[in-house]
Amino acid sequence: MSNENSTSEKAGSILEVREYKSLLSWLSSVDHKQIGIMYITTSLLFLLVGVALAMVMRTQLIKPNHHWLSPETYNQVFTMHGTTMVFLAVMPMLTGFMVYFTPLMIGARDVSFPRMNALAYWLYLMGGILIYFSFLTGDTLHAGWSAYAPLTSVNYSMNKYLVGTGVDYWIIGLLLTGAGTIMTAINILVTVVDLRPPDMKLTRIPLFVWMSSINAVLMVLALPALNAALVMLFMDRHLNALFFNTSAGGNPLLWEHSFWFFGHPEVYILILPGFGIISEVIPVFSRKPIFGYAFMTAATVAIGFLSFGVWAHHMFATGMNFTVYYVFALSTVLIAVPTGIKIFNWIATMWGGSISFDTAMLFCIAFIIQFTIGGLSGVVFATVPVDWELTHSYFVVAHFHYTLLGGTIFTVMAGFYYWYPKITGRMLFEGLGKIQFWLMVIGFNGTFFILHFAGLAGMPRRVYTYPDLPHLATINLISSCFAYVLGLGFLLFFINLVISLFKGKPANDNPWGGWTLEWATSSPPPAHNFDRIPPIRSIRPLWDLEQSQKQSGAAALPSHGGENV
Amino acid sequence: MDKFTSVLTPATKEASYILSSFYIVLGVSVIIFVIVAGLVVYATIRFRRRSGREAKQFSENFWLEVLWISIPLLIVAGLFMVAVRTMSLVNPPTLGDTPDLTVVAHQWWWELHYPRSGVTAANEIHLPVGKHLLLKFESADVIHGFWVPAFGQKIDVIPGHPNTMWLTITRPGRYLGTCSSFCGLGHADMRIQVFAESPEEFKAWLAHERQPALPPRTVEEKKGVQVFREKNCINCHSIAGLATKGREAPDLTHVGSRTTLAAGTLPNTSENLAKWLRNPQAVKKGTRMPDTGLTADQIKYLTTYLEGLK
Amino acid sequence: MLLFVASEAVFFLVLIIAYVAYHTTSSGAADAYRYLDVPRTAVFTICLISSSFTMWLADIRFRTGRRRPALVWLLVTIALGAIFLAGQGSEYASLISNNVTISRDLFGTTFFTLTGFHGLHVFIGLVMLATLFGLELKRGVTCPSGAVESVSIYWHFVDAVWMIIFPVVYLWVLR
Repeated sequence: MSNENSTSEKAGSILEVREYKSLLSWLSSVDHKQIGIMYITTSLLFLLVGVALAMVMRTQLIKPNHHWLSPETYNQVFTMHGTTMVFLAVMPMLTGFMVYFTPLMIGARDVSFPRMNALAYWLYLMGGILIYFSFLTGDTLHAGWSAYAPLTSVNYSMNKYLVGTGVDYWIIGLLLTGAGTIMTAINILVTVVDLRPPDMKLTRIPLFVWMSSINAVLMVLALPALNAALVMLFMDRHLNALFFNTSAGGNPLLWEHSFWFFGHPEVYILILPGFGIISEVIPVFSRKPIFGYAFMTAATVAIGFLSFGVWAHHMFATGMNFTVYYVFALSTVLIAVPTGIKIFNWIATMWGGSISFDTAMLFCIAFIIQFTIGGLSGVVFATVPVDWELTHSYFVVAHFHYTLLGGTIFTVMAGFYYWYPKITGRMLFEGLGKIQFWLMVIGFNGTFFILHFAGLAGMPRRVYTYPDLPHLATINLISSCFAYVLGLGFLLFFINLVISLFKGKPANDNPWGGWTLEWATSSPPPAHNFDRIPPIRSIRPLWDLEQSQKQSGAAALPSHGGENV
Repeated sequence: MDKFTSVLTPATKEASYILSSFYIVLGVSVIIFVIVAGLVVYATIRFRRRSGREAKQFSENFWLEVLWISIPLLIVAGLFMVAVRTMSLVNPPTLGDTPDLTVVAHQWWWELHYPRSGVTAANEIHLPVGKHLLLKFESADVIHGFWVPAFGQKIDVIPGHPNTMWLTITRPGRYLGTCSSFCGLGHADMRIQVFAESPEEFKAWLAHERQPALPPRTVEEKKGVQVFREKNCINCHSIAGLATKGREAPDLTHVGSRTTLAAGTLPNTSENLAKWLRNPQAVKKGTRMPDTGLTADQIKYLTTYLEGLK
Repeated sequence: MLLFVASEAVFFLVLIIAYVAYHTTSSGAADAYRYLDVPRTAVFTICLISSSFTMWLADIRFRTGRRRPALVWLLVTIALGAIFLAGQGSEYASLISNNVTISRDLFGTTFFTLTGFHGLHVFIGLVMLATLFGLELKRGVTCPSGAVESVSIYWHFVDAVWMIIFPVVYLWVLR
């Protein structure tokens, strides 16, 4: 069934698809697959820049009292590293996967609002370019990605020694990308509600679609808070409003609250689709269904809900009253529970299975272990007095890199190795993939595990250099050396992406023996996605199909792609 | 770890409470991690693909789910209790007490006031050991952060929103800390030093700080005073007994007796002071200290005078 | 449209919270109240509320195919909305001439930001209503009923936000 695509011209690889050959087809596309590819490609470029910025940072921090970069430059670099990774690399990368795969996985032809889909992408691109334009003028935001007021106010940024007039580019750029994100979120939600074929009940949609949908709810409700905060800041800077002007009674904490009301759901936005990817990849490479589908869904809903109730845990050191702290400490420790449910369910999925160690699965395994470390260091911060000691230090830098890099990026890598054949019709090189994997695991853990100790040794974050206090020199040297290893891993990834496009083994419809609907069509899919959709009786339509064909005595279709496994 | 700079060597009662709760959370985390990682490693090895073995197609177990919801719930509830208890130990209510020390954070230096004795100083803090001290924090400009790792908690220093902290220092020594909230170009160069000493030594230091500045004696020192006036240093810097107008910059009444300059970034020597006066931006990029265009001689006189202000 | 309205609701929520937070802590408000003409604004508020009602009437008539009455009610809605905006504009003019501006104090800052963004949303709503009107008027071009329903939801939302802003800003006076 999945090999019959007789009515459409089956393209062997994405480079051969006739419709994709003209630039105009890309610029004017409203097809979710093309838009998804554009999101992913653009975010890969920003990822490359973000990684380069990180390499620069670790080089500056390689030894104490290092004055290779001026504080001005370093402050711009670390701010842009954070802004790029969060807004321009990771979020759009996940959005790209959501946009590409949600319609395919529910059996739809496209999203509900294809033109809005395209608009959202172009807003992202333009917003990103605007933010970077400031960087090229040498005067970007240099106050950290969280841009606390009143440091970002006009008083402190018009002097060239201080924060930089680039704040305005940053504000407008983020307003643009934020608008795009809200649009896409609406699109995904309406698609999942409206465009499912009758058999594709909500209890049968893949977990990636569930998590993308809940993620979309978070986007719709969190991004506006950022927009409001940015608007207030912009008005302070240009219309002489007084929101954050302390001499007029303004309160910097208003910025913090507004920003983190967005900022905390944002970090869940940065992980939920990743959780979805893991929930797709582990079952396929363990040859069993996902364990605890219902609990996984419920846990994700709980996380989504709770994520709006924890924001002030970023503000435990601001001197608010204890009642506030108790409430947020409680909600923060509670959110650890549904996350724990997921970890155990993933392990239970592997349990009793038949695990193959393709690169995609390797990234999943490393993810489980690394994300657990990140989650546990988060629980450390939920313990308020410990947060008082360790926040704003390298301990928190280690924590969020474990969740965002060891977590999200590793899920993205798994997603690439799993879905690249579907998108492009070619397999990524497994050998290169495995080398990349080991470089990244060793590099990542070497860089960031030791930074927990830098925090314990008293090193604050956002410093262009540090004094030669005990252990700091050794810790930072080790961290920087491993960072180069990690950088090499990223480089190999980009190389693999490019050369596989031309030289990768051609992929058939279902190289991994997956069971969700995207594998029931060609690689890459035709413009209309499906010629025929198999019957949908459970979360694994292709598995059911296989079983029923076995029972009716028909020759078992090769559910693994033959030589591709 | 070094005894005066790290989280793991607490020098106050409050820091010890915090460290204990850290070890509890850490212990729990390590156990959970070992279990999770162990399960993953075991599953990876035991259930790797081998010919002749099919994957078992089970996919749900209600009671297992209940188990791994209820146990973590109990654990986190326990951790929450630990947090609550430690919070009240570390930060009991202040009840409007007069602080022992008020710190005003500036870009990029620390202004110090000891309200009970009327002493004003800058950058280098002295505190007595063994007393339950109340510190108050205000900001003159943007958000800063006050963090001495060995003392325990850090606190954000927010304009328009004064904060307080209790400290009971348990062992004397010279403790190092840093500004912990990004505050602009000089954030990394805004260091903290606390000299924790016996109550008698502290009293003596306070008495010394209360004295006005030593009057200039030598010719060079007198010329230094002249430079200080002519170059309008008095507009920003105070020297008790000489000029007390300036509040924008560190008080220099006893600057000669400090161990460091420029908020802990330079050891206090004549060469370094000269270096600072010659080109402040080269030492601390972004500093508000202007380039005063002093000649070499003027620097010599000024340095001699200021170093003499012990 | 409901989802978009949800996201705009959060946006307004943050601005309302900013207003409320500063209203209770800063002192500029009591003074500025002298210049707020509550009865006059109440009249314009009634216009806006009525426009929601007339929009509802238009919506029903569109759905039941009574094109001409629908167009009439749509026009009335637009007129009422425009009167509201004009009223707001004249209010701004009188405030500014009395030196109550965005940079004078926190009341000015939060008042103008909150009501300003609301006014902007009303304006955008009027543009959408006018577009609907224009499309429907042109022979042979019919609005898909989905469009009327969407704009209707948006217009009711804009009204609902004002139902919160009016009491909070104009009626809640702290002495």
